[in-house]
This record gives sequence, structure tokens and C-alpha cells, in this order.
Amino acid sequence: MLFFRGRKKRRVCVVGLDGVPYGLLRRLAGESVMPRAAAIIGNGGLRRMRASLPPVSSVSWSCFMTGANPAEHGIFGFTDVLADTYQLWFPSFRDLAVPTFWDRLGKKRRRSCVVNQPATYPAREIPGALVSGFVALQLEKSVWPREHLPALQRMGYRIGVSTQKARDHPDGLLDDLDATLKARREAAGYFWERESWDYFQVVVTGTDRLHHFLWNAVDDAGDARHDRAMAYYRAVDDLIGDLWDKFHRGRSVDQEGEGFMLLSDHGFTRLQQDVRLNSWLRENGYLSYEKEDPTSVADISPQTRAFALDPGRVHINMRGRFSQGCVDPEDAPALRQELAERLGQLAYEGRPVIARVFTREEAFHGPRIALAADLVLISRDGFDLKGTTREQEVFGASRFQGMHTWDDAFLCTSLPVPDNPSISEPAGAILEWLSG
Amino acid sequence: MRDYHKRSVVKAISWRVVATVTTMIVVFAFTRRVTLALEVGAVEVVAKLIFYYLHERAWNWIGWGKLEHPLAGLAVSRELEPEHLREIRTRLEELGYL
Repeated sequence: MLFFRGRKKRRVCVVGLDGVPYGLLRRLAGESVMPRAAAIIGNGGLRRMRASLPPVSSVSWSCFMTGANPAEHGIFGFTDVLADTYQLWFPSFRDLAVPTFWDRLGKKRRRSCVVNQPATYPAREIPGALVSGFVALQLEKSVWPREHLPALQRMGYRIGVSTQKARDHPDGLLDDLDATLKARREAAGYFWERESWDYFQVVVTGTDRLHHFLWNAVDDAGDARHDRAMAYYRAVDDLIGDLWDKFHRGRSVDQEGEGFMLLSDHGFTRLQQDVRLNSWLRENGYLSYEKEDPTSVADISPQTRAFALDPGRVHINMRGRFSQGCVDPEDAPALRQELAERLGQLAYEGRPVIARVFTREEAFHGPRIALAADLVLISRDGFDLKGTTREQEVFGASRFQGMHTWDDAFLCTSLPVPDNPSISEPAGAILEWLSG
Repeated sequence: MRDYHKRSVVKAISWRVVATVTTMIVVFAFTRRVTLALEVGAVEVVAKLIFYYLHERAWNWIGWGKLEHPLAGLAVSRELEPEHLREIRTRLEELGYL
């Protein structure tokens, strides 16, 4: 039996750091703010990863949990537009059109335990346990199975921080981030012990909130709140180290790192200007409104040829696709080409704004591709693309300090994944590893 | 390409006519009796309707060869209520996603 000593059933533990860019992780690891992450990275396997198109958490995490493309899983953004009324709607976990890899593991009698995964609200049955993350509203609808709800309530579990006052009360936000991370860690410990699992995952979403509101505190050592931001990252590092220690308990040295994964769902950078795409479309004669003070794309006129949704999705108002579509299908390719060229040349004070323009066919593949935007724009660092209809000017100041980026998420794993991976790719490696 | 329901209904009726007429022709070929052929055709239509139904129900008990949607066995959550949708909108606005 000596042969089997130290050999245990394969397991996977994933720690997700929402909105942490590759460069920041390397820097904090190098500056000893995150010594435990530094040790893990030191084992190898750290690489840049491409987020979803567009790079927002609901889409990226849906890609991660399904291993699928948005045109396969059906989640294209935090918001989408109804083809008949142009009203915005909010895709939820119920709208995910393909199974998660937790469901697929369940078919192989493998159980998953997932804490604070964004885009999983309202919680539904998975083979194991699930606590929904952003945009979860009520804890009662965020927990599966419900038998865990009383324990989470007792420990004062928080779904996320309150962002309502974050801009005006940054110190309050930092307090809230600390308390939420503490509760998250306690919940992770609870599920680690209570649940029987083969796959375990915790997502820290406070990193994304910190970056949205206080990126300067993270990025600038001279910022008044830099020390507190670093203290938050030290606490995140403690959580990573705690899970690493638990994961390796009772395992042999040659198994170190096997099945342990760190990743983020998109990157982040300093925000300089909001870029309101609908204002540009209006200025250039592609869009008009029926109201003086439009509140959403539901207020566009039937003469509108194109409109934008957050964060960089341009839809052509095509006949047959939308109820008031005015662009003939045969004219749509030329209009798309024209928009791609003109938007690609958009500049602010001589600086180019757009880094990449993806056509629908370049960005997506799958049975729901007809629902996708005609163009997906990726901006250069500093320019945050917006789909708002409430602003007149194309460029304007933002109330946030940080913005998402597409091509500098990170992945750190010893599991075999392709070079230059996208966030859809770890799922296959996890499934294969746990099926071995 | 998919068929509309009315196309499927018309095809079902036309096949029933072709199948029953075939039966009547076969009976007439063997017996040379027109009345018998018409009687067998009339009985066949009703009998095959009943036995087709029973055959369908019997196959329902057999799981072999069925393609089940991976999510078919999972509980579906309740619809989100309007006030929750408003709250989601507020949360997204607070983070600049709207």
C-alpha cells in the first residue's frame, strides 16, 4: 500500500480575483504585498489571459463557468435589449443557455462548491453548493442548498459592498471591503469543512470595487489611501494562503500546486475619459431620439440606424432584427464597415480612443450569434466606452477612477491550457483534470 | 430548416389517406371485393389511431435513445420581480454599467 501513500482523489481549488490585472498581480507579488501569491506564482504557470468580449464580469464569468462563447451561453452583457420594445433587460443565471462545468462534473458524480461567483443569481441547484455573487440582491435567493442559509446569516455573510455611497465616502468603502472579505473568508471556511467537494471556488469581488472607486489608491504610492489599499490586498493574500494550506493538507510534496488555480476575469487600468458612443452616433447622424431627455435606447426614433449598449456594443437597427429596424439587411454590411472605420479612427485631443474593432463574426461563434452586437469595440487604456443616452457630449469626466481592460486578465495554473488563453479555456482543463 | 405546425398537420393527413388507400387497394387485389376493401379501410383508420396512441405511450416508458437536455433535471428559479429588476438597474448604475 506504500504506492498509494499521499495519493488522494484529484481535487481543484480556484481563487478568483475579480478585475485584477496581470501586471498588478506581478507588481504586488514582487513588492511583498502578496507573499503567498508570489510563492504560488514562483512555481510557474502565470500568464496573461484574454477576458470575454466585452470585458465585463457577467460575460467573463459566464464564459469561465461554461467554457463557452457568449453566442453559445447567451450572456452578452450586464444588460441586453429586447428586440420588440428596445427596453433594457438584465440577463440572469436563469438565462444561461448551456450547462456550467459544475453541472457537467455532477454527471460524473463530482461535487462543486462555489462561493460568490458573479452572474449566478438567482441561485439554482448545482451538484454541490452555490452562493451567488454580483448582481445578487437577496441572500435568501443566493444560496443553494437552502440548508446553508441560516449559517450564513448567523456569520453575517455579505453578498457585496454597498456601492451607493462609495464615491462620497471612500473610507467607508474601505471599511466595507474589509468586513465583506472577512465574511467571505469565514463562509469559505464553513463550506470547506461542511461540504463534500471535488471542486472548490471562491471569488473575491472586492478587488473590482476597490479598482472602480479607488484605483489611484492602488496604483499610486503617493495616494493618501495607498496603505489601506495595500492592507486590503494583504488580506486577500492571506485568504489565498489559507486556502493553499488547506488544499495541500495531507498531500505529498510532489503534488504541490496540482489543481490549485488563481485567475481574474478582466484587467483594470486608470480611467481618464468616459466615451459616450450614443452621443457620437447622434452627432454623426446615425441615431436620433423621440424625446428631449432620453433615458435609454428605448427612446430612440425609428430613423435610428445604429445604437450602442454598455460597454462597447454597437447594434445596427436592422429590419427583421428589431421591431422598428430601418436598415435593410442588404445595406447592413456596408453600414457596419463604415461604422467600424469611423469609430476606429475616433480620437480625443489627438490621441486614438479605440484599440480594436471586432465584428460579430470575429468576436463570437455559436447558435445565438444573431443576438450579438454587430460590432464590439475595445478602447485604449484610459477611455471607458459607455452606452448611456443621457449625456450630450461624446467625451466627459467620469465619477470612477478605474476601468476594465480586455487583454490583461491573468491565469496561474499548472493544468495544461493553451498559450495566450481566453477565459473560456480553463473550464476544459478543469474538467479533464477532474475526469482523470 | 424547420416545418411549421400546419405543414406537419397536412402531411399527417395526406399520409393517412395514402396509407389507408394502399390498404384498400391491397385488400381489393386479394379479394376483388370493393365493399370489403372499403370496410377494412374504415376499420384500419380507427384501429391504427388507437394502437398508435398505445404504442407511443408504451415507448414513453423506455429511456433508451432519448437525448436529454443537460439542464432538464435542474430546478428552475422563480422569475425576478419588478422591484428586483429596478434594484439590479440601480446596482449597475452605481458601478457605471448603465
